Amino acid sequence: MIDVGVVGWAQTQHGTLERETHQSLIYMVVNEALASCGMSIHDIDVVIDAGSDFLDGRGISTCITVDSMGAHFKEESKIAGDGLLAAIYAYMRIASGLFGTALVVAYGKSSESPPRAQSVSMTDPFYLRPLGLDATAAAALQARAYGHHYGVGNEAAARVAVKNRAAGALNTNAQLRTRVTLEQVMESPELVSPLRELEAAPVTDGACALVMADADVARSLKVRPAWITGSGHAMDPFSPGAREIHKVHSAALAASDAYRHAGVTDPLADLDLLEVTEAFAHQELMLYEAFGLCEEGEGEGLLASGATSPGGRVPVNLSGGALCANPVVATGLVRLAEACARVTDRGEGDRIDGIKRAMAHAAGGLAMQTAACMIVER
Amino acid sequence: MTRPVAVIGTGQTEYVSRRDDKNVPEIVREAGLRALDDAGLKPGDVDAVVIGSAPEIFEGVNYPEDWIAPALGLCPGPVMRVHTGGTVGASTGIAGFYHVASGMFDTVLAVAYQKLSDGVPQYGLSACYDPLWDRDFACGAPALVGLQSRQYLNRHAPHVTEEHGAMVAVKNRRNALANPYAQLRREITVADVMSSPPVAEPLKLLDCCPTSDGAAAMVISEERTARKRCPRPAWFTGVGTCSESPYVPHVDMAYPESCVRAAQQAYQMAWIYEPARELDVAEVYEAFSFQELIWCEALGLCGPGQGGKLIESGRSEMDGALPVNASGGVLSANPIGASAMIRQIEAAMQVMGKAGDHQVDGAHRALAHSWGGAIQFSTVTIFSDEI
Repeated sequence: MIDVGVVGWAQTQHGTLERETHQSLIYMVVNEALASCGMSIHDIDVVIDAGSDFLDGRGISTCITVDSMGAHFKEESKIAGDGLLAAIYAYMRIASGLFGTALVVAYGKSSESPPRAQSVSMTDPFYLRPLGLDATAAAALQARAYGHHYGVGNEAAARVAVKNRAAGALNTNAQLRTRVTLEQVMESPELVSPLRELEAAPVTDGACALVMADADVARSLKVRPAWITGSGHAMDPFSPGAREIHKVHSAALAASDAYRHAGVTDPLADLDLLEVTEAFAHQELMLYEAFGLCEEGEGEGLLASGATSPGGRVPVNLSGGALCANPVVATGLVRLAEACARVTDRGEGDRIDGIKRAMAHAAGGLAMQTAACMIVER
Repeated sequence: MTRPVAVIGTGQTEYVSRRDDKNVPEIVREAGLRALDDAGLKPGDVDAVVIGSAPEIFEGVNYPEDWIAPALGLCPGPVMRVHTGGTVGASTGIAGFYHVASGMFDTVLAVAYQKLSDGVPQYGLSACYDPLWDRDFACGAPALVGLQSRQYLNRHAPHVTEEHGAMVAVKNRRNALANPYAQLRREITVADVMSSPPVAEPLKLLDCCPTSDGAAAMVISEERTARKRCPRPAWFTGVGTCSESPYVPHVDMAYPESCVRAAQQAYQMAWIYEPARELDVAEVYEAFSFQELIWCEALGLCGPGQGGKLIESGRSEMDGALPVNASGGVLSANPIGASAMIRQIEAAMQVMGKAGDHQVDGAHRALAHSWGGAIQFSTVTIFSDEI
């Protein structure tokens, strides 16, 4: 297969961006991503974007965003899902040999609509919608099932929030940049039992863009590429009741495909960094297990060992993760941009030696029904 | 270049104005299983699913793939949804092509659907317009295509007339009589079209497509599986897409540059120099009658301004040199998100020799076209019976 590198990337400073439109957010990150690798929009062969019509309040959102992403008179296609899926599709385009370069764009402005009501639109009209099940309630059912099945107490998830908020405090793009204590998390208002406010991702506006290139183009640039060595994506059954909801099969399957491509056999030893989409704190523990960093039910122990903290064997979410900024649709692509910045040492902030191979993860659907993973290496 | 990729099985539901017996996942499953059956495969033989539909607002479910795709039987498994407006069915087939061409997957099921009876189609389409600039006067698709048709007629008057549009409708509705999946299967005359009620000048009711419920699916695979499973696969030999901004000052709806560019790219990939001579059959996305003439010009199937002459000459009739919309086209059935994939399926079926009563003799090379958005997205796919 053709070698493909991520050569440039950019993200917004995430937050409630009332003064920005969808188009202005896109325009900003596309220009910055191109500038970060010394390329021009004219060097781009194909644009693959991700957006959500429901979130945008539009019919076909690309009708009015193609120009802001520089796709006028270009090959362009939209993926309806996280931007990390768009990155996987862009990777396919270049791997086919028919394109030399690709631009990947994802954006979302969750602040424009009430997010919990918004998430009810993901339910089917027959069984779940009459219940009013939303994303937070589904995640709460999942947290309860996980805790019950493995005997994990509520404090374990709270410790994830403490870890990630501490990391996010150092990330200039993050929305939440203050540390929190275990007591603060445990005493924050309950959203849906057992989830508490500080265990949930904030409502975020933001965008992210990435430039990919085949090996010939990537090597001709004056920047260090992050080489893509594996990817995978997967979907679980729709109804949470039809799944083993205390596990994340989708993430396990997506990761196993990515591992197979990248030759990862012992993820704890072979990966140097994970950037995962934990819209709710307990989900990070479940992902440790799905990704094979530890045995089922052992996520709490792995966290307590410090292995997933900064300086540990496999730091998870050095960026602070989704708990510090969750620009829905772009969240997973931001994880990839963070992973690329770390493996190439091209990021801002403190350099961390020895991160040579990293995996980015995106989640979608109710209670992480879908997953996408991509592995990048120096 | 890239490794050979082919369509090895196709499946469609019958297109009707309202499916009361099945919900969306069920019609998608119906089409998907028919495609797998056509290829002699089971759901477990598929490595990935690509799914496509137009605005989610049509059925009122966000991330509908999460609800629908598991019904195809590949779960847990890789699923990706494409959404590019009217072109989405074709964009889904093309995404399936790249899944396989990249070497990441060997056999992919691509499905596209719409169940327009679940919502109000023109409301959904009006929501496409920019909320700040356009929505105050948004009025669905016919108003936009009415402007396009008027621009085309004015530019080429008196060589193209409203009767030429009517002749397209008559031809395609006649072709639909031989297509068991078509929704409108009743012959009409030019006089019927001309006297039908106005919708958006110059469009009259019989110049317009119906709204439909339905789903379509294709099995796409690499060469080894294709040769094993299919006596005559439809090889993807040319793929081109192009998007354009609707806000640049020189947008030309009567000769859309995105269509010209998508065609050029597909022809270049397929080594086609004279499309009008080298293609044997074409399926174009004529949601409204005049569009067939506009697309034929932009695709180079006739010269600019020659659309009227093309339909008069009989060249695009079933027994002509280059039959256009042998299936009856979008004028005979329009489950929007599926319609562009139906064009690909019908083109593929022609080169596979499986088009039944509307088979065009000696179809070796077929074109499938689609448009979407504010006449701003275009796709062109070329299928051939040899690599």
